[in-house]
Amino acid sequence: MSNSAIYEPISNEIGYKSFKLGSFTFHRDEYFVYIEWPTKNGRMTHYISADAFLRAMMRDVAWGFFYYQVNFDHVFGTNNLYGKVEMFAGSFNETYTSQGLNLTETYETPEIMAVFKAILADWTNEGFDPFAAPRETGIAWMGRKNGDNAAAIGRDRETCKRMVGLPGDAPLRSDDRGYPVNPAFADVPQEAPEIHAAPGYEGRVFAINLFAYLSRSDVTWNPSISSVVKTNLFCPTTEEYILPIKHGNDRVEWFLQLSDAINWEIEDKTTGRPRAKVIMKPGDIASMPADIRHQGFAAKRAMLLVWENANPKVVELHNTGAIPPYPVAF
Amino acid sequence: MMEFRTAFGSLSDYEKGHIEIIDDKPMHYTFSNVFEVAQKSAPWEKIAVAKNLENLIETIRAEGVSPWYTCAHDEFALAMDGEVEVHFVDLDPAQRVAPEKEGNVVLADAPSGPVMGYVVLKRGHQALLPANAAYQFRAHRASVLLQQALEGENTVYRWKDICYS
Amino acid sequence: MSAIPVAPGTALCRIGQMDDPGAQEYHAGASASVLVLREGERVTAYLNRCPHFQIPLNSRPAHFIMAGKGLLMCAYHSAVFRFSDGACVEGPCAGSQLTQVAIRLEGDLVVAA
Repeated sequence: MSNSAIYEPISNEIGYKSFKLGSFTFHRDEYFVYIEWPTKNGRMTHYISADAFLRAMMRDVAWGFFYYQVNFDHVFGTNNLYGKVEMFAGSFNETYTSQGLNLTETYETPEIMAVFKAILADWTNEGFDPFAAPRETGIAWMGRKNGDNAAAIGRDRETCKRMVGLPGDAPLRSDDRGYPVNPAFADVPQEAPEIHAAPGYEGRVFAINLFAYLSRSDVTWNPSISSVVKTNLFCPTTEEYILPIKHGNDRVEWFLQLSDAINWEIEDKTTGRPRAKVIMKPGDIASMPADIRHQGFAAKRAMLLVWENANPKVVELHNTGAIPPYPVAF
Repeated sequence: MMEFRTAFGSLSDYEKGHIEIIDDKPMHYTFSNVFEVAQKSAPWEKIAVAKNLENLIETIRAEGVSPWYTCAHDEFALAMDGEVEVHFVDLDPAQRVAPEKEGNVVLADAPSGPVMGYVVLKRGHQALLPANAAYQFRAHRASVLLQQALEGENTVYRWKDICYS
Repeated sequence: MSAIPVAPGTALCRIGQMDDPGAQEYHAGASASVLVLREGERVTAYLNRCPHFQIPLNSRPAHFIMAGKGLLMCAYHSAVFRFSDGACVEGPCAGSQLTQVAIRLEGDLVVAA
């Protein structure tokens, strides 16, 4: 499936470009994004607030389509097939599917990535950071097209090989490197652990202040690896307001609440039917099964450890039913 | 100017969250609280609180002096409450585990090799437990550690006791 | 963790059997492989392990994604790497590097150095 194209703005007064990918078209105005696709009843249009759309798009682009399903909301999203990507409208919403009004199309990954990056770049105004909480970035997203924010949407991610801060590995965050303590974490202790390494063992006898590292994150809802034990990945992140996507993973993932609280809405991954709410407080740890999608709500900036298994084989084990969608039976 | 207070938990002060079921089973969420787990466990028991195939997160009530452990691959320890020293010895090859073995083991004998040093972990501090070193934890007061590990012979499973069901 | 899994002198592949540009995988055991990249007469080789999540760059056997002139995209999360030096120029681990495997050419044969 190809056939993407970038069109000139549909209206000079609006200022935003329109985009096409396969059978889908994308437009935006001062407030909203309009996604259109063909159905048996004619073209269907779905509406998303532009800030919500851009926050979700930012994650899909930054995470390279992530692990399997990234739902922008209850209708529109993508599935990462790891080399190809499905884009869908209504295909995981039982009302749309029961009426035959959904559409899924598959693209080569570089093609859909190029279009998504172009949408994100053109539709993100100066002063709006799709990685930031509303408290931090305000309402620059709305209105006529006004400049861009290439620095925010093109941030480099830091990935580590063993543990952040280790000599030769991804560095820690600091004031000097442009990572001040976020005001929401001003009370988090910053002192480094005592390290007493015998000569020659510096770098093997080593520890970091992980909570201080997290307190200096300049993004929300953006897991990044902080320590690695083969396929066992610690991916902590700081969360505020709403996870911009409903994530439908293709493997079990786990959450450990390091600070504050997050409330999770859980829906069935295929139908969208509500299944549960998971309310997490400091020290709570819970699994997110492989047959659900989850979305988190954090009233105060919170530290969350996202725990992933990077082993690609686990996806096939779930898909074939060799292992159940939940991690433990008791 | 907004003022924020960051909430952490501890062994003596935590509030456990909960699950509101609509159409599901609590078991699917394997929901526990690491402070509650540590409150109810004996010192140095490695209680699994998260598992994904061979990958584990273990909760440890750190109190007193632990055995000496070693492992053929890296592991990490994160302090969630209290204060824990981690001491390291550069283990002689004769005492090391086979390179392909996953998970840590308790050393049968005192470790032989050069003393590497030690670190002191307080809440939020994470230590590297480097491959082929021997390591020992020491805590003067009850503390809580998490270990990023692979399934091994020391792991204890108590899912029914620790999780909502 | 970054140890090169092939002994010097190991034959990895033949240039003539590769697409141009192209990528070929040499399996160095159950859990490690070497990625050989070819563009014209220039050949480079790297450990087939993406710095993002430490997994291979291909999700299917012998299937690699070309992302433009001299560029390879990881199938999992779209990190883009330069053939010439293994640098990640775009994507979730931009700024990182593939681990280079030293090679030499013996005629048509690509051999670990």
